[in-house]
Amino acid sequence: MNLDRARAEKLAAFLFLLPILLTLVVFLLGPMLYAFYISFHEFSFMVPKNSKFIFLDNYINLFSDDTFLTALKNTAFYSLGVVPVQMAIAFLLAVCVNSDIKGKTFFRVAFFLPTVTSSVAVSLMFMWMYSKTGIVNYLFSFFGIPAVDWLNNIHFALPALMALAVWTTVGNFMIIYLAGLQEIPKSVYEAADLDGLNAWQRLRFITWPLLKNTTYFVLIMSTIGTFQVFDTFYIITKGDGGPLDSTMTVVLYIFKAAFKHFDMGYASAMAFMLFLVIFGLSIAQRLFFGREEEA
Amino acid sequence: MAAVQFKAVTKTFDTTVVDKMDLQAREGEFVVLVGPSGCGKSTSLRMLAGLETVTDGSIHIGDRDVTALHPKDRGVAMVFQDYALYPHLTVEENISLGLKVRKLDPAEITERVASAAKVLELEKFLSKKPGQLSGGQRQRVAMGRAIVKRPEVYLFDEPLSNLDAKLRAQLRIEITRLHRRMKKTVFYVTHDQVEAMTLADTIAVMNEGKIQQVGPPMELYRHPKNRFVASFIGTPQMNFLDAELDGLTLKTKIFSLRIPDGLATEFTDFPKHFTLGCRPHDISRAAAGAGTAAMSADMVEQRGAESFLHCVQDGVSIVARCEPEDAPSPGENIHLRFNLARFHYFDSETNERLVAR
Amino acid sequence: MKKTCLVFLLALGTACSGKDDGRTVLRLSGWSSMPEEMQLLKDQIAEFETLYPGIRVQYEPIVGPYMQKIQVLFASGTEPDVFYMDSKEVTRMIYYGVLEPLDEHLKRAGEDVDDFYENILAAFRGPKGKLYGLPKGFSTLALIYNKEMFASAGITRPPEDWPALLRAAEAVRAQGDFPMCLKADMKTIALFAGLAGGGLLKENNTLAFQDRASMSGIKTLLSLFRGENAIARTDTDFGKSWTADAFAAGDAAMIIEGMWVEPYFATRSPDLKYGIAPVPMMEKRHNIIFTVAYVASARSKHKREAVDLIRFLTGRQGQAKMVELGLEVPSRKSVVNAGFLKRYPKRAPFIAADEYASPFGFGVHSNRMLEHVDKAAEAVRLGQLPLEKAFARASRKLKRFYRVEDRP
Repeated sequence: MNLDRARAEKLAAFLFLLPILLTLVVFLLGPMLYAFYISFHEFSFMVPKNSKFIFLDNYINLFSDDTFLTALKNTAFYSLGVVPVQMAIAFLLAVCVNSDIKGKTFFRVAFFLPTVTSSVAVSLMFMWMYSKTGIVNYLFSFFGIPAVDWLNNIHFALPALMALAVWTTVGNFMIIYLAGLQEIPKSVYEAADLDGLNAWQRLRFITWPLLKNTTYFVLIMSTIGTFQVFDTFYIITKGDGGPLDSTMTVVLYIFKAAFKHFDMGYASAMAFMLFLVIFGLSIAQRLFFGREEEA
Repeated sequence: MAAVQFKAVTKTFDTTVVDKMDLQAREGEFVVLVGPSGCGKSTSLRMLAGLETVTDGSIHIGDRDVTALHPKDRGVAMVFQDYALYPHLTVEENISLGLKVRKLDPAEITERVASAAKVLELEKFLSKKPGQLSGGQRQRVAMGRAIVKRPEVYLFDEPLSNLDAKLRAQLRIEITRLHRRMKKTVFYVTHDQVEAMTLADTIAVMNEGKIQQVGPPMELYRHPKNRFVASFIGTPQMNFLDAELDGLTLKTKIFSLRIPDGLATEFTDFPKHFTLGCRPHDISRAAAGAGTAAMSADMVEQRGAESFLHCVQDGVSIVARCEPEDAPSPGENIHLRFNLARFHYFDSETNERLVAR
Repeated sequence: MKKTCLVFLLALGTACSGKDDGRTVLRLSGWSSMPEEMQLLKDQIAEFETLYPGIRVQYEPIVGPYMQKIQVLFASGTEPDVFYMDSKEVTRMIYYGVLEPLDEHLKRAGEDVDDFYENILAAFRGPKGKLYGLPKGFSTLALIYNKEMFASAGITRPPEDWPALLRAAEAVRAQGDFPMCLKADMKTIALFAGLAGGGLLKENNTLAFQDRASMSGIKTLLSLFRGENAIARTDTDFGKSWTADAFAAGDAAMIIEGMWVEPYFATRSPDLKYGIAPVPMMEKRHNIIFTVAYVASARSKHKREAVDLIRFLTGRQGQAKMVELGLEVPSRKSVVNAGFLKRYPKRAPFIAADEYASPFGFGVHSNRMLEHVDKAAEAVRLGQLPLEKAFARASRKLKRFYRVEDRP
């Protein structure tokens, strides 16, 4: 009787889950497996029947394709630059807007606004700001710095886009940090006040360690986000990753291979390499944070 | 010289929460601030701790005016209702953090932590984190954190409210013992009058931002200054009856008593109508007769050692104490005798005590 | 549930079967360069439907990246019957075998194919000379110059050859104006390689840009940007996003662009005084043809109707109206001869270049060619690599896609 009931409950639970499971299988797992399958083929959607099994050739070609290697390098550089800066700024902004400063609602909105602005609009705005006659050069001219065509300079294009990325996404992570901050009971800070901790010590001994889980979450999301960066790069470089591949990212190259060169097999192989990279990084971060937890 | 002194302290948020509060505590005195929620007792304590600013007036600890001082410079330590432990630190680190940031000698820190852990029986838990402890253990850690600082004044903000009844009773005793050992001034906030009665040297009853009465527990119990204190201290609550004087006869809806000649002078300035208060312990069952009240027993509240009768008559409810074996069955008609010698009288308009004793 | 399925299937059925109240439904797709173009196309469709009462045309314009969408439509088997195809992409589509050869259909319908400029048609011919699309119009490149700047520099006639152009550039510079705004991109590189007597791709589908003539042309182009006395700058050097934008703003006296700048000038700066001259010759005359054709899907169930639609839209009347938009010149001689040049004498250079021009399109892997050649030129222009090395690298990357045996 009890057993029957347990079984019935399990069945009910499964039935409730079925719609989303089906959706996941059809729209996520299925395409992923299919992409895995075609990554071993020379494959174009135009004539799928002409696809040719070439086993690991796509993967092997990746490592002699200096565009892919450049894209990987650019993406790693981008991530290494953007993630820490964006986390640090997001954290500090969150601490600021969580304090009792005047007009904090205004600041919260102001910092969050870029996140809800369409990336197309943001990209166009930054293209204008970074242009040779744009406002960035105008401001720099006061310091006697000569005008630079930021987005068309192979040395500055990627850092310029990194600055853009920090600006657009920092609000999002600020909100996450803010949520984390508000989880910390006020009385803990009061206890710290009585214990005589100064502002820095409160940050160092209370706020920061208590936000560890938030930081872990932000780190993972930020890393994944930076490794998947696409939209702003696509818009600003017109899908090209220029100048001279200096802003070519992995996803941009995947897109190019898939939709410009119609080389879906190669694109899928790249997508799986990217998956492996992100997966590996996430595991590494988990291990790092996990060990800390034990200590 | 008072160890702690509130001088006309006022705190205003949107409304006035504490209104011209004057309060003094002697060195080593255990002061309990008690009152219903929202009466301003916690705010007063937090002003003393330095966690709230003072709108008007001043606060003194020893001979220092601490009104504008940072919490850490006031020589106070506080125990919070929700413990406010640092969840990511071990018990030992929790206790010692305040000493570390003060750059105390490490050996001194170790010594203080060890002695506090011994007193509070926390030795086994020193390397645990707060999440692994029970509520009572956590509150002991919070007390440890206060003790090691060797403050002049200890502040407790409803420290036992989050614990169950048994633990509460146990910790009450521990706090008393601790106080006796430390001999430091304690300010203790609670809404529980039992806690107040058992712990305090001095109780300050607060209501609506004002101190109603300050004094030793038994004085407040025996001579409440107004109807609010009378009702707040003592359990079950004091009974209140509308009464009038007819010559030397004290008349209420349910009984009339003749005032003995020796007491007559006390009633000379009484208004015609006033409020009479009588604690359940000063009412007892009696045989029918002059001065008794005929009532109908409604319910019996058994407490084990004693029982409380809830009676009604003519719209008047009375709670009376009786021996458990004497308890009537519900619905039974009984008679109650009121002990006139223990009556309290209050002005019906101002609620102030009428006879000063 | 069943009902929903049924409705869904029915809807799908009508969409695919191409029957609609007894009429054949033809699906037509293209991009739209300007709102007027879309409106004109809609008018023409309406006209077509009155002429062919048995056909209903469902116009489904594609917004955004066109070839990506077409690829997806083909992949899902829902491609339109008739659609736009750029000369740059058509070879690949022919190679995939997804386009319908039109010769037989056109012959049966009695279409006068000879009325089209042969060089333009050639852009849409596949192996064995089969024709896969009818061009809706075309444009070549021309030297567009600022009349006022030329006048103040004392230049009376636009330069006809390269030395004359360099002289004109110096004269313009002497007056304080900047000579040229150019983009060292694929179309310009192809143009210069051709002007020097070379090209990017040989007849046999092997790479030609490393040939001596081609390299010298590319070198000439890139040297324009070089040094103190550079006579060309890119659009981004001026803080603009297009050479025509820089030209309209008066940043430079000359650009080399196609017909498509005219509607832009008309709205951007209607008072701009500019002239259009043939691209000056170097070793020889050369030009690039930019053209878009209507093509039909090889899987279309209504090929006859599709060809009818293509013939109508590229017909004399249709084309006459379409070229009024100013984006392209007619691909039909008859339309040109019916007074087009009398009305638009300035546009003559765009048509005349057809004789010696070759289409913008470089085999199956046009896009790869474009990517690597662009990149090589950029590397040279930015001083990252010497010319020979940059193009040798491009050649290394492209070689496996351009082999004789893969010749389409």
